[in-house]
Amino acid sequence: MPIDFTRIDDRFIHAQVIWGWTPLIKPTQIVVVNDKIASNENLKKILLIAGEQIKEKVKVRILSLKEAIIDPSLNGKDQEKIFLILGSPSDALFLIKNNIDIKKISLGCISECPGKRRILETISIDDEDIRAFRELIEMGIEIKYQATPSDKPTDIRVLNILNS
Amino acid sequence: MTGIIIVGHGNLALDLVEVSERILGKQENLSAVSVQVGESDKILYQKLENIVEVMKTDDIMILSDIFGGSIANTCLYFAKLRGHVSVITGFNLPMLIKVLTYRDKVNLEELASLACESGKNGIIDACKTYDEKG
Repeated sequence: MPIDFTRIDDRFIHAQVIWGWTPLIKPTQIVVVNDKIASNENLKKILLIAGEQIKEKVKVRILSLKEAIIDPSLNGKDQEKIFLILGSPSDALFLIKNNIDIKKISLGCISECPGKRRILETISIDDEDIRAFRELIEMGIEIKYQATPSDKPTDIRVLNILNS
Repeated sequence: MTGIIIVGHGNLALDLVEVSERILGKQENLSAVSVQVGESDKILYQKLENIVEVMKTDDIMILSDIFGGSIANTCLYFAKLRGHVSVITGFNLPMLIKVLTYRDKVNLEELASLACESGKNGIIDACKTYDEKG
């Protein structure tokens, strides 16, 4: 069974996820997959205590990419409803190539920082992101940009963001 | 004196500082950071480092808008790495006024309690209070 909801948002657990997306998606588990967070005890703890603000009964987990590909829940081995949060299209590509069943991606936020150029209000990308997005699209993955839960999701192919 | 940094989404922080200075007058070692949509935590972290360097106070108190938000998460990370930094979330005007009035009188730990207490006490059902006065 494919992952219920996959979102790219490099703020991972934050206000919009806590009060916007989670009540909408109603997952049983929120899984953040990111090597930087998973290997940094401070960052991990901060995101986990942020996750405690979620009033719904949801388990929040933080995994590295390597842990993710062998994780039973992410591999559909149990009945969990998963809200998967990733930081980049490259990480999504890695998971898919390692048999994690992701069919659709909700593109939320890739923050502006040196080396990335802003192409949409909440999306800044570099060449690596562009390559990953192109490969994901070639593999038939549906990627829709949606900054907030009330925005209309728009297929990134019609946004013309990968031609630059 | 404890340096105070207000950090918020959009222009919340700048406006809060401006209003507080209109009430108490111009303040030193008080800084506001506005975080706009799409800005990364790295940019905020760098701004915090720069402000703290200029302030030259050992103790720093960061007031941020919402616990669990991306801004508060980054402030908390900054606090844990630097040390001598207190992060209080859910800022409001009563909280900031209290903190600005007491920051040269008490230590950082006491200031943190005062901030939380005054922030909570500042939330009042005004109509109910009025009605109860008979």
